[in-house]
Amino acid sequence: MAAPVLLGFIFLVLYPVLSVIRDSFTSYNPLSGDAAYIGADNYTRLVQDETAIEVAKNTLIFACILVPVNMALALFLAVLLNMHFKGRTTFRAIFFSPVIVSTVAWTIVWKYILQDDGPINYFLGLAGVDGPNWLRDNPWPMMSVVMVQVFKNLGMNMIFFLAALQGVPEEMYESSEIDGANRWQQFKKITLPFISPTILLVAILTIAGAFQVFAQVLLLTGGGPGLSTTVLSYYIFINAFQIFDLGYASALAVCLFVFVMGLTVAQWQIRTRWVFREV
Amino acid sequence: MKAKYLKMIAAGSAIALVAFIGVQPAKAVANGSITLRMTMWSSNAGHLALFKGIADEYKKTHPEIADIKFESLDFATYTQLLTTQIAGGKAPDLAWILEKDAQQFRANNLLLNVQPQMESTPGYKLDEIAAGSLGLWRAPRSVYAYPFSTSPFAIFYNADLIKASGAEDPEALRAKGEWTWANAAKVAKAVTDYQKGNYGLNFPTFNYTTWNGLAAIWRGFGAEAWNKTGTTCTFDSKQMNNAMTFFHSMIYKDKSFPAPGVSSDFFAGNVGMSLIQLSRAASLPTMKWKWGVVPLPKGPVADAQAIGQAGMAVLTKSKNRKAAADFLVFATNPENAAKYVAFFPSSRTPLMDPKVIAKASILNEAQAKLIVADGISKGQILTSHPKISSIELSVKSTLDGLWKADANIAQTLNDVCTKIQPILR
Repeated sequence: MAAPVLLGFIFLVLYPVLSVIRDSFTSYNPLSGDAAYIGADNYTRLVQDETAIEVAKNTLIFACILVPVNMALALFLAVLLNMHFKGRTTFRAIFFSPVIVSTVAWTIVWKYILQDDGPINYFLGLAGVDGPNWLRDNPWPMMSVVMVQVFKNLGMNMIFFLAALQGVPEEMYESSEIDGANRWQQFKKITLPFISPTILLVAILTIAGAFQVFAQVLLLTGGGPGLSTTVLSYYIFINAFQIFDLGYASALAVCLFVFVMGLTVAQWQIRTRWVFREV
Repeated sequence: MKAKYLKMIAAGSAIALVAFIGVQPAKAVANGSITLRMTMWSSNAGHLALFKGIADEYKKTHPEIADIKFESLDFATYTQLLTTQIAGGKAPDLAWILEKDAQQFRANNLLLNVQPQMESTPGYKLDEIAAGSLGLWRAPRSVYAYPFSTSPFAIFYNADLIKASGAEDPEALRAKGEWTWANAAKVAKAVTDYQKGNYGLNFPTFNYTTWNGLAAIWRGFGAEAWNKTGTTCTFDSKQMNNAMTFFHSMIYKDKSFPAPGVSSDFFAGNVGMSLIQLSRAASLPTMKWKWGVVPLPKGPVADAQAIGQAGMAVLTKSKNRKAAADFLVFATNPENAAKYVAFFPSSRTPLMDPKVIAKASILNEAQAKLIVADGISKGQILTSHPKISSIELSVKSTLDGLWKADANIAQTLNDVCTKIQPILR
């Protein structure tokens, strides 16, 4: 029964991962096909590569802004859309709709909207505000990439939270009301603990996704201006397919893989301290 | 004894088998068994119709070819998309190659030597191709691509808009010998000041990414990206500083050149001048406004013309190298090369005649001489380097520092050299 799954895992996950690890010890040039074993040279180079360090910082900044903003907004929307009011299904559909739009189409539309002479600056101009060049004037390019990514995936996280909120027993709120708890106390003492397993799931998925952002950077800013929006996954792509240094790109990919894996394991390990019903 | 006979029979059989294989005719290629694919950076309907017509003609006499597909890729990311296909094991059979990539593609052994096919094809007339045009694509006894477009950059302009703005017509300035970058900037500023939303000059293929095209400007100021051997960066030279200061001033002081992230379309009629090549100007005759064309303006140091070149090549990683090379030779023979002249200035000497160009393209004979014939004879092909992919990314990301109003131009140009000198060395 497990054989197809196991085969899929071996050929689609394990083999590519092992290939990347193998390539990271070579000077593989995919354009010419030349490859030679060079030991740990790529890893030594990585530590000394000032660009890689700058790119790693950009990646952390991106993740540190994206994850809390995305999760807070998604939870806020989920709480709002969990209330009973007319048209809430329509609002749910509206906020979820970016999830089903192709990332490329979504990003290209935003590129047009964010242009210096695009609609955002046009409307700001009507209000007498001289808007910045969102994709060129720092720090707005990074903020723009984060914002485009936040709204792309917000709906998915919102749905996770919404499902969790609907699983909170109604009687808990009723009894807490009898005990005199206000809305904030109910949210803090009942809602958050009950949905904490979902918060863990959403945190793991959002953090892992933040370190894999690629299409938005490629299409919105091309990593620029300068290196200001170049993140690790894009830097890996540049090294592999523009500079044709697949060996070095593989070393970068291995490091990113280990880092994300470590982060996920760490989140899993500390779950018992804050996730309800986890021991 | 028995063993001896057996050995003799075995040896005889082996000899017979080898002889049989040796005299077998070359395996015939089944009809309709080959599909060729060529990548290109144009999606112009005229260009596609031209290539499709040649392909249809070829298929009539080559039943083994099921189809020849032309895949249009975005110009700004063309090389990246092409190399990603190659690296991913999905190399096309034929490809357009930009001049800047010629050396790197050759260094990585990606281009097939098609000289044997060219020489063995009756009537191909390889010696008709101007030696200067073949420079990037040739090695002793080898030709790695057919340079189907050797296209000088020129300034195409909207004569009605320039006249309305009160600026002097570029052709009139040229006739007086006053067609300089300084005067071009004045014309551009007049057009920009004339009406809100106008731009004096644009450069669509530059778009703040393909910086090597800026050679069309900086060469007039005596600047180059690196020295002739490609080993020393010269972005930090005084000449480059002058060129970039001039260009920066057009963008941020005069505001006559669209800033990054601002769209402009010459063909929409609100841009005074456009720095483009003939191949991108085919739709001009359909415009409702009067247009003109002049060569690149003279700079303070040189009357320099820049040429963009495109080669058509067979990739060594193609699975149908022979068929692709045969098609390349057919598609670039003298008869078919003559068909390209409508869009692409040719590198075959009989097709460089202004009369021939005027007959086939949007240019009149005087324009054809001035822009194409003189442009090719005076001009230099855009910058290329065997390590261009590493260099161009470093240059692009560092030059981004220039594209803001308060840029420190000298410092940014020094930074470019700091970045790329280790690669050039």
